[in-house]
Amino acid sequence: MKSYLNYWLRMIRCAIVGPPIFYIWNSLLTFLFLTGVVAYIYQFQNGLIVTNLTDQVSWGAYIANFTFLVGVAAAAVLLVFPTYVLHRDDVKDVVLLGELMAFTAITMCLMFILVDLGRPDRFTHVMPVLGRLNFPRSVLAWDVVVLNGYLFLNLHVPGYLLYMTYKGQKPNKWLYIPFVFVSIAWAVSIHTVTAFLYSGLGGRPYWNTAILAPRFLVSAFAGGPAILIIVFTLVTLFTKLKVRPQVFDMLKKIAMVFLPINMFLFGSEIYKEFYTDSVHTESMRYLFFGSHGHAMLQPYIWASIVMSFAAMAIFYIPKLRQNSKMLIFACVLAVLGIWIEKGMGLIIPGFIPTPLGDMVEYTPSVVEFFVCLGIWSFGALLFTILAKVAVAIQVGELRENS
Amino acid sequence: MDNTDKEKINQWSERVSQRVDKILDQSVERRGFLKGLLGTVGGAAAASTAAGAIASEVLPESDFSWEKFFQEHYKVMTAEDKEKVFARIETETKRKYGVDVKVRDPQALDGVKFAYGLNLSKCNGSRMCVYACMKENNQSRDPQIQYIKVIEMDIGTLNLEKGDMYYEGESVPKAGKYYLPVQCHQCDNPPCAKVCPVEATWKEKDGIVVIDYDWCIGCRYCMAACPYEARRFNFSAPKVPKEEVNPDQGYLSNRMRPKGVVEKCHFCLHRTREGKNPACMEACPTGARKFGNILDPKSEVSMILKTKRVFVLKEELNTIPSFFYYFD
Amino acid sequence: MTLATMEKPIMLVLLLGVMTSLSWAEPMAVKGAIRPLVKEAECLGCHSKTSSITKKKGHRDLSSKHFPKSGTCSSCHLPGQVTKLRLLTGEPISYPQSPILCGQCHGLVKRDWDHGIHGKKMGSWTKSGEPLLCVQCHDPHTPKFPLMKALPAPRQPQLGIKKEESYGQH
Repeated sequence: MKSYLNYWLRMIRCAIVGPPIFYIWNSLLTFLFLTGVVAYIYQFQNGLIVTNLTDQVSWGAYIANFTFLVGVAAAAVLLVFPTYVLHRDDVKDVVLLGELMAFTAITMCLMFILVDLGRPDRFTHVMPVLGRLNFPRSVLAWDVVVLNGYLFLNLHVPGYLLYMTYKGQKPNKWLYIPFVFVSIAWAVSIHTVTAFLYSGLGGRPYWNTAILAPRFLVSAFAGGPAILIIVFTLVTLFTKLKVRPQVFDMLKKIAMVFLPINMFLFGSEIYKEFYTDSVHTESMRYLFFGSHGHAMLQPYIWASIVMSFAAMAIFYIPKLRQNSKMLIFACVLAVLGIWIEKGMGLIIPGFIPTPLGDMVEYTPSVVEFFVCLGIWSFGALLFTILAKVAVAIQVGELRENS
Repeated sequence: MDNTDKEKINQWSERVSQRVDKILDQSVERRGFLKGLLGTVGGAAAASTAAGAIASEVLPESDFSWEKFFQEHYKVMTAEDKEKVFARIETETKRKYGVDVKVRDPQALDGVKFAYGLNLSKCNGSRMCVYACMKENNQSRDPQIQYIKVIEMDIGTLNLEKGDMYYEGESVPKAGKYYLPVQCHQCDNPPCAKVCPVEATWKEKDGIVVIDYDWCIGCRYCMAACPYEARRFNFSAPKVPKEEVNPDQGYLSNRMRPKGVVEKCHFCLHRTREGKNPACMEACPTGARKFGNILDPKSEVSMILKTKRVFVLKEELNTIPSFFYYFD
Repeated sequence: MTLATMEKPIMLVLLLGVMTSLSWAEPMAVKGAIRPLVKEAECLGCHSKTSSITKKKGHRDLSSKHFPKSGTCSSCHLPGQVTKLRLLTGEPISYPQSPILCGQCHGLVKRDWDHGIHGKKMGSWTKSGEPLLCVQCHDPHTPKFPLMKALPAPRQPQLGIKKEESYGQH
């Protein structure tokens, strides 16, 4: 007990003490987070009218970011699977960081849901005893269960392993291996369930497609490596943990496989909508070409397509992919392209036109922008300190008897 | 940060660790334990009261109370719970609007299942139903909430994409158009009730799909799921002019709603469960609206279903609406 | 009276009587949408058996859309008996029985009206109550249902809901 408390105190100290760049980065993120908190308090007091949401477009920036982040969380499986199933030791160095990133992503998801609720003070209504969870009929109830389960898994496994490493003890495999294998399947399930939120609604033909769940997973496996490459580059630059080139190679290969599959699946959707040319295809027509004089999303989706193809090109040309600056650029393009395609390219057009043919456009308001920025900053901050502590324990700086 | 600062922080953490060691090592006497326990309980009580007070300050509009926080789902509440809740709503309405209201809870009648018939040959697009509904059901004027949408369609098409719900008309019906009023269809297979994560909306015995406004968390999944765009969200606290508040209120129907919850047409259940017509039907100037008990073979809606060529919107979605349209 | 004199356009005036209020009906949202019924006594004010029509007032602005296409005045009115209407067989009926008259040509609508599914019903879905007569919504001389002005359209949000709108559009 005493040593556990000591462990926490030492972790907290490690989390707040560091080089100057660490303080600058953390201060900036904290400042942005607090701006988000202020914006959210304003929203909480006045209601969601401070957003640009309407009855017609009732889900917007918050849910779009939530959808994207569930994909980021699911991408942790790209590290867990090689480590524990393929027994790759080079990936073992970074698997805990990947799980901590998943934990951060799920935390951000839950925060995005909380700020989107009309009555966040009634969050207890989704809990087992205090509330009344409509499980198993409601897919959103399933999402509550699987997201919290994944949060727990990605808190327990790295938490336990890091504590054992800190103590210099060999971990009891029954306390983490079963959880690891569950988390591999669970990672697939969180993004499938999130996709099912949309694909099961008959009243929204733009979403009501079987291909949506595969699309979500493929875009998670395309964007996930891109984010991991960026994160691991920063880890290698700023910490004592040097991520091995084989890990980067593996991530590059995964991205090379899944980026084209992502575009293929998106292309399949585009073909189906435009060739069928039925009334139901109005949403995609609005997205790509505008409809009835409204064309707000047009520049975004075309930019996303260009970015995704550019990222693919850079990944496929060996000279470019081996250049670390170009690689980072490609990763940024890939992440942005997928973020636009999943957020603005999927959520918003589902509401335009409405089931009764109404057309109301949407773009985030100033309040929404700052709340989103606040949550993203919080996530970056959380991951920064988690990573710092995890790396310190892993490289041996933070040990019980040091 | 230089080494002296680092040393200082190291020394601080060492001191804290030593203090923690001391606390954990010393044996705790019973009196001390009781003191500690009482202190914790007292602290928790003080903290919760303080939290409640702070919450009321931060959210003066919603006047947070622990009663509200622990209020149960409608289906689980006992009769006494409900009395307390209705009394609270009446008090709050009096405070906010200065109007004495009566909140009732009429139950579904036995052997009754409501259905609505709408004669599209007779609807002239006057929108009298829309505004009568607004008045009857205390809908927010700003931001404007209207349960009924009347869509102006070209004769010859049922393609809602081509309809216009924002038409203005000096004289309706306009030539070559017909008018399609849409409100909640109280589906027998409601997608909204299926997706609600907290079961804040459900289908009652008499067919009406109701919402417990004190249970809804405002996630708006039901709004995404509804194929008829029937549900509305309170983006801010609803504003109803004092003199237009309808004091005859039902808990599941037209009581004053709070901010951040979803609402929709409920077939005026505070009227219809007592045998009266819904407000929209009363207001319709052309007699296009027919309402009644589908289980009664002699009712008007039964006659309509037997003799008219009725259809429903988006039948392929298998929502099984209780709202039947027909041309005469 | 001969057939010839029946051909003369007979101007009737519908005096403003009190609406036969239906005791179980609730106050209507639309005032004046239901037309007032004729009371026989008012017709006799001018068309009494003993007086000849010398007064200049009444019926001058009447034009019947039912005339001359679908019939003449005498298709529905009894010459010499202003307190009654007539069926095609010549049989006289009273004014409250006028739906039978309308039903002679508008049979399908009359069948619906008999079942309670044509026209406006007020108050309660549980009991049928007294239905409105045809003439309470349809002016027999200008039978087409009058055009109305539609109430204002809903506010269409642009980007988000406008917050500064004043309420009270209706």
